[in-house]
Amino acid sequence: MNAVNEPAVVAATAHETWHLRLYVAGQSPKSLHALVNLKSLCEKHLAGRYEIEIIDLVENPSLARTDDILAIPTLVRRLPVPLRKIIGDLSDTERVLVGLQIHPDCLS
Amino acid sequence: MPRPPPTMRPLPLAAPRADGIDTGPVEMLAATNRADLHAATCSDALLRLAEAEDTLRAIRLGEVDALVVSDGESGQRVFTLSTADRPYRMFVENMRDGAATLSSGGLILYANSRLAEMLSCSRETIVGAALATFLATGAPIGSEEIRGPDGLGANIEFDLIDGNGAAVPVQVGSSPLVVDGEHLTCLTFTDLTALKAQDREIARLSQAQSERMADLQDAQVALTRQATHDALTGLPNRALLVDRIDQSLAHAKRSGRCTAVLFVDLDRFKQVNDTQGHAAGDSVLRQVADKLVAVLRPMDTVARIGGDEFVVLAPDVESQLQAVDIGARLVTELCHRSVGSQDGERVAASVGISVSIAGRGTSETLLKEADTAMYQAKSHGGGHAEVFDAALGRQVQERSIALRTLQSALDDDRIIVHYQPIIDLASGTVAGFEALARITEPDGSVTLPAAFVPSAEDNGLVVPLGAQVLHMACTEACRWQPADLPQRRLTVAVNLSSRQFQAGDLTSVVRTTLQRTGLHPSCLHLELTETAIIDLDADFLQQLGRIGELGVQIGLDDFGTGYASLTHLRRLPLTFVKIDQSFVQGLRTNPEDDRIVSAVVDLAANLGLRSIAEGVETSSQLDRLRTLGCDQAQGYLFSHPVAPTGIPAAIQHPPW
Repeated sequence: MNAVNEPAVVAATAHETWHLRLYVAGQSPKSLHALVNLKSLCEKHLAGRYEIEIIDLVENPSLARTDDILAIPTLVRRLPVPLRKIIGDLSDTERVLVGLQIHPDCLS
Repeated sequence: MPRPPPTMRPLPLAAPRADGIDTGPVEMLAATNRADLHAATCSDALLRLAEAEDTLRAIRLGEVDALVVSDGESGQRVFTLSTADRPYRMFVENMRDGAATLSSGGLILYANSRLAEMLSCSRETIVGAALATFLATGAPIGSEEIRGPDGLGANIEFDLIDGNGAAVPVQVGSSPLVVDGEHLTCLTFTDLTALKAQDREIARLSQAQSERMADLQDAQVALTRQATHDALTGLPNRALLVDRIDQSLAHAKRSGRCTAVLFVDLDRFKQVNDTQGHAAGDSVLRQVADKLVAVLRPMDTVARIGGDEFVVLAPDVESQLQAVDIGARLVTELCHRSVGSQDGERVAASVGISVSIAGRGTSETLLKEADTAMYQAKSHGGGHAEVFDAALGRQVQERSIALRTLQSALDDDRIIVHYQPIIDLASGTVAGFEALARITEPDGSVTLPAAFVPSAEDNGLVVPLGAQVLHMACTEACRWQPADLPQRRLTVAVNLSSRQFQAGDLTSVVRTTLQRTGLHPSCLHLELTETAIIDLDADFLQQLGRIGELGVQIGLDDFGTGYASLTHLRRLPLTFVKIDQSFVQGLRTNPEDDRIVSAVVDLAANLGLRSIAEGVETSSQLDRLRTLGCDQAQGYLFSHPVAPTGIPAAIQHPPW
């Protein structure tokens, strides 16, 4: 991760819509946990400017290739760039905030 | 994590351009030269390593429950970890319904524990068996039938046969399921045993309930009939009658027609009951009821409202005249036909008729008026019908008011007695006083006897009234007696009613009163009206005799106005007669009155009776009475009746 670039990126994207993609396996428990955690986190920090896309790899395994998914659940930040991945059920909020580069000071 | 094959497209996680614009992986690839490619590959490897570590961390922490594995040419496959389907397994295992998966050949591939429980079998027995093994004859066997013709899964009911051979009613839902290209059927079995039992119980309860409802309805009908009909005759009772009268009146208000109420009372019914017993009486009542119903029109109502009291409602009559015709017909039918007891005792009827024109009045007034007219008919000898008229009604009303007034006066001790002096004409002195009852009204006014005595005679209150006045007068008279002249006793005259004789032992009343008050018997004069002695009988005579033996004097009041004959004068133990004031007031002006007074004075003298003139108002009347030889007199000329406080003055200083 490139720490030098972070502030500029966040500043540039503060008013953009975040595009988040969550890879799940049907309604597996961790997939559901991840979705629940993601929704609450977005509502708290990105209210009104995010969209979540859900991709079920049980229904369509070949889509895993798009973002080179290895484990489920995996969250991919599509926008703002750069693309970022968080693997797991998103239960560690602090880790997710850092991973997604959501810094409370830079958010409106 | 193996290194990705060279065919794999470049990593999307490449560092962004300095301007921050994501040019995308393809563009980035195109922009790189060979040296860059190497650097990118290194960076790519580092990132992949980081990602692999991240993945391992997530697996270690249990944050992941599925892995994606590249399967060469066939693409990607997803492997879920053992925990991934646990919630669904738990859900299916613990659901209330039995669940099974069926192969296309009808074999059970999976069964949940509830189904095993329902079938009373182990799960091992069930799995692999054909579903048909557990179906009752006639139940749909194959998955085709269960799925239904449209393949969408029909909800059907049939019986499963459990391991013990017992039938288990179930409802089956089915849905198709395709797993790895194989067509399966998911089935759920809802146990209907409890529901069926409940249905049977509901049916049983509902049957019992409807039986009970029918019973209640019967009871209701019986109760309604009981509440509105007379048990003995089956005729409507008073409640129903009043309702029908009200309806007729409401109807007549619109039609303007007449409504007639006829009160029918049997004349000699009490005798039948008393002499032949109640069974005979009941038989007569039933005959009367049948007769009345037979005689009247279907639209008329015949009700029995009391012992021998029947009421006919003719809801629509032309006029009062037609009502009278109906009344006359009832009397005729009841008097002259075969109604009567076994002994041939005929009952007669008195009928009182009341007619409302165009719905005027109420059921209450109509019944009261008919009742009044019936009593009028009865008092005129019975056996006929009379129509109520307003004058009669007023009289009845006045009587009832008088009754209440007098009763409350008796209750409240508001009876007082005033005394009118009786003058001895020879000496000019006061011989005694006539006691006259008064009622002091709550407003302080005084009501005279003419206003309450006639009704008191009718309603019997004259008995307690008479006793009270007698007591008060005797008490008072004791106070008048001059202590120094025991031979000159002052008398008190008290009026008696024939009702007092009928009520019981008047002799003992008089005796007790004299004893209690201490009045000398010779000071008490009792006055009877002429009308009172019309009903003279042996008992009456005996009582008078015994009272006379007490030493009490008895005289005849209002002589000349009634029907007393000379025989009466001779047979009764009399000592004086009072000449009615109507004759006295005609003295000197009406020669006929003069002759009558003269004759009465002579007659009394000849029979040894004292003559007393009432209502003397002028001195010329007084002069004439003296001339005729009348013994005593009373009237306004001497004194109005005075309160007890005025008596000493009246005795000491006679103003004449």
